[in-house]
Amino acid sequence: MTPQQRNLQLRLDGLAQTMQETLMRTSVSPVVREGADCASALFTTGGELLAMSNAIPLLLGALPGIVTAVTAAFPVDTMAEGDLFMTNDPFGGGTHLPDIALLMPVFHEGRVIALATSLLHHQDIGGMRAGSVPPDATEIYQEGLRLPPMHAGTNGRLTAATTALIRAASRVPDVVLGDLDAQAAAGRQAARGLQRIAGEMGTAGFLEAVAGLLDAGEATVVTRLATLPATQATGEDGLDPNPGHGPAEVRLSLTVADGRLHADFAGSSPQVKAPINCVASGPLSAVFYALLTLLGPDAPRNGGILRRLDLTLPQASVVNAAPPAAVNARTNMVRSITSAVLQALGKLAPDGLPAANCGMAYVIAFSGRNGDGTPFLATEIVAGGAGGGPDRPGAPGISTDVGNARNTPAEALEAVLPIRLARAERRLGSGGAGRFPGGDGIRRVYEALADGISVSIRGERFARVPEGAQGGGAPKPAAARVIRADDSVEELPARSAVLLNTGDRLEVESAGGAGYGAAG
Amino acid sequence: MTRLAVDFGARFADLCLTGSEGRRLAKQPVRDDPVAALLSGLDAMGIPPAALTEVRIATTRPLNRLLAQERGPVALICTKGFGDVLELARQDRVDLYAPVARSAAPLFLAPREMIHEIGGRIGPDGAETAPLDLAALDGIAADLRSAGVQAVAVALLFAHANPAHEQAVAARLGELLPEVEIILSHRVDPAPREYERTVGTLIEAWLRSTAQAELAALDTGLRDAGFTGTLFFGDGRGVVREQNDALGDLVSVLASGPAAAARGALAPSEGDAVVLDVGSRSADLMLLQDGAPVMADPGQIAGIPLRRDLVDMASIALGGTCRVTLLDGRLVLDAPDAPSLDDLLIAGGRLPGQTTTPASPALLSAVAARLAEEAIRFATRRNVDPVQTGLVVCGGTGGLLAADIAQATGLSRVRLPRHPAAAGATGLACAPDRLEAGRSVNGPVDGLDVAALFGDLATALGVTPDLYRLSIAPRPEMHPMTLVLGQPPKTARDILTAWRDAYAARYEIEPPGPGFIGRVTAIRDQSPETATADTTDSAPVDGPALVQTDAGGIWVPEGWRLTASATGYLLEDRA
Repeated sequence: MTPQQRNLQLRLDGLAQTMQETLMRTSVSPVVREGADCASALFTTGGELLAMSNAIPLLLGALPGIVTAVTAAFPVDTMAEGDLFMTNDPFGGGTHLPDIALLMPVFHEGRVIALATSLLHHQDIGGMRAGSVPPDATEIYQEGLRLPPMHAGTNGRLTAATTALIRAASRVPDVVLGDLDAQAAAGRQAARGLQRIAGEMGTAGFLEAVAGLLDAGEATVVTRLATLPATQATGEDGLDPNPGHGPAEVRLSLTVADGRLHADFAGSSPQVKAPINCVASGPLSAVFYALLTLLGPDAPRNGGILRRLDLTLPQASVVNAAPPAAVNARTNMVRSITSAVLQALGKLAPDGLPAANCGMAYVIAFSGRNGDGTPFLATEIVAGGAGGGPDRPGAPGISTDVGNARNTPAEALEAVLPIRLARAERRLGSGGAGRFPGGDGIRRVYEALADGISVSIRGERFARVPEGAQGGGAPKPAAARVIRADDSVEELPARSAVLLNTGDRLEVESAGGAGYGAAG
Repeated sequence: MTRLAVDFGARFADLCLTGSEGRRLAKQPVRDDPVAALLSGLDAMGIPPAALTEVRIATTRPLNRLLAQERGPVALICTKGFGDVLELARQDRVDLYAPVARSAAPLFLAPREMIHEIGGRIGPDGAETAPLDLAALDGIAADLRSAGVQAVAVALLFAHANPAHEQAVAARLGELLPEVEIILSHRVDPAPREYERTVGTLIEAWLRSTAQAELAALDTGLRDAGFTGTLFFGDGRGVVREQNDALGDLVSVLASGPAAAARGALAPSEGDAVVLDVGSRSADLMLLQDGAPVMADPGQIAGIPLRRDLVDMASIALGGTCRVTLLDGRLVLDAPDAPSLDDLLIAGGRLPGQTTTPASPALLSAVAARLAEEAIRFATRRNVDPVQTGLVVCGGTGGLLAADIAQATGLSRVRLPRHPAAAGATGLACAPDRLEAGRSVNGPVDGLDVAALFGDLATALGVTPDLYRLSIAPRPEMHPMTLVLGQPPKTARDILTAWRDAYAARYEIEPPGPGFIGRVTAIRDQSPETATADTTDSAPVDGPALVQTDAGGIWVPEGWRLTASATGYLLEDRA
């Protein structure tokens, strides 16, 4: 890249990050303002990724497909200034139903110069359980309202029809509408910044420069791929046994050839009647993330890289589910896919890679009604440990690979829920042993301060944990249990729906990371 | 009025004397004794301390130690079950695409064995839900004593809502360990989110144990030498505060050096600029817009969250003493056995002195490129293109690399203060003197007794405030924004209207809540008389040449020319 291109790419990256910070500063729900369960990116008018925020890669990787779906339904040349478009359709580029994308065209001198897009985990969009993440769903119809790409707003505001739709579908419409407002605010922040840049460069100059950035991104990946052996590498992983639903295995073959990276998931399990399937955005997020780790810190992180990526996904599989599959608990399947991708990539470019991370995260939703009848609903994400090595122990309790959610502070959680967070600590000894031990997982203990608190828990790695690297040890699996007020203990499976009453305690323990090298 | 402003760096103190005879500058080695450096500097200028009416101190020394992650004899007392609050931080990682996940947690502030848990809980509404286990403090105090702890941070859950438990811990610990400094989180940062409040409290404790003695010794040393005037300390907001206010709030002093340099860079900035201040140990980046340093909201220093009003800045541990080398064409910092940047500058003829290090233009170019890269990242993250806005380079090392940094940034011009190494001291000399009084409200805006609150603030301040800063969130658990008012509001409705307008102006949406007010601060800034800028005409200098100023050298590379602007600063231009 030329210095001018580098400056422009960094400015666009900065604008995407400004969008991200706007989402977090103005959102209502704790999973966004505390947990950062959201992502932002800018796209060209042709639908190619231009710049993205430092956000959860799992969400970032979904945005290209979402933009493709929205612009197919609403061509860019039909968009008007101030229009807002919305979708949450997992089978149209999305992830799962709570993740609603909002897209806003950015105009300068009367024409669209870019698309500002964000994806945000909303607290509830209907379905069989509060939070729209039912661990017992078997079809998407049970998971909430599915929105194909739709025109959602004019003049930068949601239309009355959109507002009415959300009010009709959600258990906490004010929270969802507040967070959609945050997405609109993020779009307008991006528009201000882009218009400033285009004002400096002129519209034509800006569009020409943007095209050059994508070409530079493509050139970067071609150069890096040329340094890898032109061979095939495989990876495999899978979820815990899921009795009654069949296996959920990931099989991957990664090939470098002709300046392209081809990821073939043939052999992965057929989709199951449980919400653990993921849609096509999951494998793309995983492979895109892995490729970016390979390219290093100086690469332009834009859609030029995606031009050189090919995915082959078996239809109606756990890695590419088809309607009416349930998909709400897809996070850990994407983590599993990422583990397989990193395994395979490690065979092609082994330098500097640590042992496997925990490969899981808990997503926990609490809901119920306060004494005055008003609903409460909050979701939080609990990470596990990082893998050890190659030159240091793994970090404890840290979001890894395609995750990057933040925790929810006790002071934020207790402010909105009748819950006391009794402990939030390292789960000592849960990381795999080794010369460089794996990072420990986390233990969080929640005490119910009211009756009738519904909890939806989505975890993984309760049975199947990664092996250590270079002689390192495996971590302890995750676990969860309820300790009732009478001190009786109920061990929970990875995906559970439980009801807590006053004095009950929920204890969740995430898995550690694997160890690296034989312990001395 | 004879005012002395002193900016302490890692190795040198820059002195700026302002009085009826204009402005004089001096530079003095510091080594490990700032008091001796200050007195020697005054002696060299022929000024007895008794002749000074005012002394202003800024320093980057604590910040350098923070960047070096030096440990202090500091402990933390936190709520039972939350002893890992520092290590677990906010769970996210620093570099998203680095294969090895790394946390931003500043673990050096308190190693795990120095973190003690205590039973007792306050709830979100401020009510006690479990009594404080005061008896446990006996054992904790014994551990702290045997560990030689000098400062204890106390950060208990929901202390911002009810400080009673923290106050009780402080009272008991004060009896058990009367020689130890006790820092309470509700005083440092009375706002929710335990990790951020704990970190802020730990930094204050860390400063009490690592920097307070050095700062207090300046007062003692000056008084013993006959100084009877007023002592001020620089502040991370680019102002100065009287000694007692500043020393009770050392976090405010932490960024005093860069904030002073930002003010010193205002003249050459012509209003807007990216400022790069390269000193002995570190390089600091700031942004000037519309004639003032841009403030951060919320702030951070060296990647550590600090919920304070601060100049928006970034610091890199790259300065004259940093050992640098190239490995596979990439710059490596802090490389053992490698030459220091100063050695390389001497070898390159840019710095007087002797060295056995061979000249390495490639290595100097790599250093300049790294600094340029940091400047570009800092500016572009704020949607400022440094090529359009321009660059001011200052600091003792900065003047010797300014043109190289400009070239690596893509600029053919760079601006420098007339005395680049003394930008901090000259900035400090003209910084406003701030008086402030604050109150924590922690309640809804609606129903606030505005007359009582603002009357109380004016009384506490002792003069008529000229500015009010109000921290307001839509709801208690949401993120606040700072509302700045030039006049005291008459009613709660006035506050709500102004806040909604400010929120809409910033985010273009309505705030998603009725308004919850945290802290309110009344401010009065008094700008000092300033000396006339030095506009002495000087002939252009064509490179290669080393130009010495009263404070620091400027390297003019071949193909570059140094000229003086009509308004008193310097320009380096590529031919």
